[in-house]
Amino acid sequence: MRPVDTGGESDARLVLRARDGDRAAYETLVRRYLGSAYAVALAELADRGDAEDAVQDAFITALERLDDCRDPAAFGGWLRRIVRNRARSVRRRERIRDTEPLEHAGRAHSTRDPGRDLDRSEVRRRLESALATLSDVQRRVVLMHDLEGYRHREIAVELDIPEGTVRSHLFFARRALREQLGDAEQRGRNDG
Amino acid sequence: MDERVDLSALEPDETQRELLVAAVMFRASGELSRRAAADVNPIVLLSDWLRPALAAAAVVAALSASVLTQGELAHVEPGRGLTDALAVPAPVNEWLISDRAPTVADLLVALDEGTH
Repeated sequence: MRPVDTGGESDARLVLRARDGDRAAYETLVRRYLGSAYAVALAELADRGDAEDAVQDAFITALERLDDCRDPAAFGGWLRRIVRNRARSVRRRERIRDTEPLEHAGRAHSTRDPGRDLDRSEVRRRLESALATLSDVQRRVVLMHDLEGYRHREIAVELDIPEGTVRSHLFFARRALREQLGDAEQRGRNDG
Repeated sequence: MDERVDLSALEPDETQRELLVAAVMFRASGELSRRAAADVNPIVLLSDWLRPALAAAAVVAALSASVLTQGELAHVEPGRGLTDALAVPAPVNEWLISDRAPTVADLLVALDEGTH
């Protein structure tokens, strides 16, 4: 999930305009990086509702700290770090609270949505359930690679683990997901 | 087994995207307004002031000229100079004509004449 093309204006120019309070410029940045920010948050939190909250908070924090963005051309990377930190902070808080299991949380949010596209909602629900069975690091690796489009080396740097370990986590995460999704599909066929 | 798993269903759909953008921009309004207000350039501010200030000065100058030409000077008798019309004390008039600086004694005399 790379940045969405929202016109030709560079990040650097948009950041400078947003620093002066230009609403349109900041909205363009939000639209451009919403998808990748969301993927980063989801990789940390696994819950869509929490991920959405973390994304919102991160965009507001980024705006408040926009003067600290030393390289406006690298706004995307800077923002993703804020999203990740924010998501981790939410995750720590959630752990302390020791709330409901992830798969239940996922279902709760699924039913909260209008669900115009039922097929998509169903696939999403299955994916969330399958992701909830992975370890934290496996989930992060597979989402960063297969959803965000990170390379192995980038994930290794980001998570501070060897590149070989990233490949290993990715392999086992994909296998587990396919098994989970395959089982769910099989159960669906049997029910039908 | 090494192919990507299609996780695109996890991405926010169009409606979710719009809701998220709207929520972020709503929360960002205060900070953007604060930044826009803080961004007033002093030169721009000065230029904003300059135009009405110049206009006001022009009005004052026009009124003053009007008063000087049609008011006090209208009563000036032919043959009298501007210094007479403006009631400039005679010693001061002399200093002006002779283009010299007054002495302390000159000033005392001029003040004395002015009070009488």
